[in-house]
Amino acid sequence: MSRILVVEDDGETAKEIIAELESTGFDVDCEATGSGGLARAETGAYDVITVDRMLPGLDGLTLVETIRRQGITTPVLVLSALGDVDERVRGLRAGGDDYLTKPFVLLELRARVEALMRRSPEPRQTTLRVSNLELDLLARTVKRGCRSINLAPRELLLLEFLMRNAGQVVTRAMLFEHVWRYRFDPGTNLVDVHIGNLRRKIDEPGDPPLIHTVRRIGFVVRDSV
Amino acid sequence: MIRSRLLRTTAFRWTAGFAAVLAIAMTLLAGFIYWQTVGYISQQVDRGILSDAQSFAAEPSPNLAGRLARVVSADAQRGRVAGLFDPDGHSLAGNIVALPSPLPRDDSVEAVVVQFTKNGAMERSEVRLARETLAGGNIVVFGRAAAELDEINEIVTRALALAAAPLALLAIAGGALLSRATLRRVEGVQRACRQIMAGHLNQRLPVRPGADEFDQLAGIVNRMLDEIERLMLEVKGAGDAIAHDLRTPLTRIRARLDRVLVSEPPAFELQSVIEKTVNDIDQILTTITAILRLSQIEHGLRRSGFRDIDLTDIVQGIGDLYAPIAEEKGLAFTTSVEQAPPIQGDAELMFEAVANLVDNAVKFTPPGGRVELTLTGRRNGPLVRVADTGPGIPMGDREAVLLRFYRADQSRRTPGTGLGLALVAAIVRLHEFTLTFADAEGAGCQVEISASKARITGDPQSRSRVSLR
Repeated sequence: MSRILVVEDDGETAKEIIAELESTGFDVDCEATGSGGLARAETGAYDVITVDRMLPGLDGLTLVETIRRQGITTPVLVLSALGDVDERVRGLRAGGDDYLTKPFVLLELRARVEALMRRSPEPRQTTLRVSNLELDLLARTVKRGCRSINLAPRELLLLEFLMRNAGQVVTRAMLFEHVWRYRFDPGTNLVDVHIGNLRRKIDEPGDPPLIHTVRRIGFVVRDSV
Repeated sequence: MIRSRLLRTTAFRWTAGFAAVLAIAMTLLAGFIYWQTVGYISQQVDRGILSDAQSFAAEPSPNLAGRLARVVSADAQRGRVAGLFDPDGHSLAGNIVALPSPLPRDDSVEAVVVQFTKNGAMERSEVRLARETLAGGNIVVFGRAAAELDEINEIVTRALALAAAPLALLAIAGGALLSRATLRRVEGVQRACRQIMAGHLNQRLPVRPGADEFDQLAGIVNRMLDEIERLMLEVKGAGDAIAHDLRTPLTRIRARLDRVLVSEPPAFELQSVIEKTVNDIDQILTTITAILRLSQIEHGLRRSGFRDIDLTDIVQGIGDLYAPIAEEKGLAFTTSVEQAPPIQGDAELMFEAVANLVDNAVKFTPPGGRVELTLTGRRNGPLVRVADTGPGIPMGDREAVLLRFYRADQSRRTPGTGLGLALVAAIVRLHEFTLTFADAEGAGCQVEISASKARITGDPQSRSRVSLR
């Protein structure tokens, strides 16, 4: 059972985060102070840690820096208040792996926690595969079975992100950030159109569909069961 | 009271100080002139006395007494004194009563108090006296009363005194005039400010074309007032618009939930109601988040995140993002990107600004139209242009459109928060760039963001230009 540590001082927020994560099937521990969170994090017993930037006593960034200095590589999701621009950048530099600004949608939080959980120290792959779909990372080419598929550069980046997180639902925001590298709320429709075009090229009629829409959350690439 | 106010003004203080310095300088100058003048005259007089004494001394003795007497009588008015004494100090000739003491040395002139007769009367006063010892031991002394010099003294002093008084008056009068002029300008500013505070937001301070410090100050205050007026109008506008844009979804939610409470619908309908309600709430949250962000941007809170950013990358990314959407809608979409040098800014905000413009262009241009996104490298900075063949923004709306929540009538029915252009305006303002609507009404919309800090002076010729700094 995957274990998550939530370090959050606001009671309401903490309750909601815990509820969401537990309903997904995770084991959740919660700490309301920086020092308490640090103590727990140092045990190294967690798969993902979420840290609020503003904490009483030891602040979130210091917590992250401390555990990184100790060689703890547990993925960290930093939660920051709206408008802390530099804080977000600093959060990542301190050793965080991803960040969300408040207010955030719980489903977004869940998707990102799940994505962080997948970070396994695999050796660099040169090919990504899902079912009979192959993406050659070096040659930047895509094949489905024997069919060669011609993708625009952004479409290829979209597919790459989906396939790196194969089986994992990714939100539109995550897709956008990875492919366009800017934080921007593109609205539902924009990303959907791109995914639609991608899907048309990948899932031709007769092929079992690989790119699935998950209602209210995002998309996932996986074998259809 | 006006007099005490006058005394406290800087203008008066400076004038008084200047007048004081002027007075000291004039006094010093006068003293110097006096010293030089009187000194010179003294010198001349002394020289004269000495040469007279020496020429007397050179005269053969028998003539001396007679000559002395003649000189004295001829010069009765001028206070000349002359005397011939034997070695014991008895008077042999001249109008000096007794041998003066202390006697000056030979060939020198000194001030000595002497008793002498003048016009039959006895006088005793200070005299510039020269003395020569003759061959036989007799002493001849020759001199002039200092009264002459005193006269000169008096004349010079009087002249200076006469000059000083008008000068002082002039300085004070000038100071007073200056102070009054300044006071009046200050009063003008105070009056205008009081009116503004009373609510007449469109009042501005008078600015004379002279461009002195007061005018510069007035100019700055006027610009501040422009900004305040804009903000207050926005707050007012926001109040109205929030009422609409937030109340509409809330009203829908309320109506839906009311209905459900009353009618007890089946589960699937309940599900649909919940979904729609969640969507409406998302819309409200988006609006509120956008308002908060707008506030932050407008308060310049994000300027600390500025670094060198590459507009080429941003514009290309936006082009890639919107191309499929435009295509789906049947629009011809082109992106043209020139290499442009990096600029100082916030990459995410600039992305959002340009994306908003393109989003609007794609949204409002009917199928069959065209949208062009270009980045050109101009000499004074890169220029981003979004042009479309849509209906454009009516001339009258152009300034209003940049206010929060404003939506030109035709757009009211399309989805969106109405904050898009206000956000663009705020981002442009934060970066100190320039946003321009440059198009002719009816031929579509063209919006430009010029990443340069050069001032754009309004071009009165072009009716279509509305620039925002």
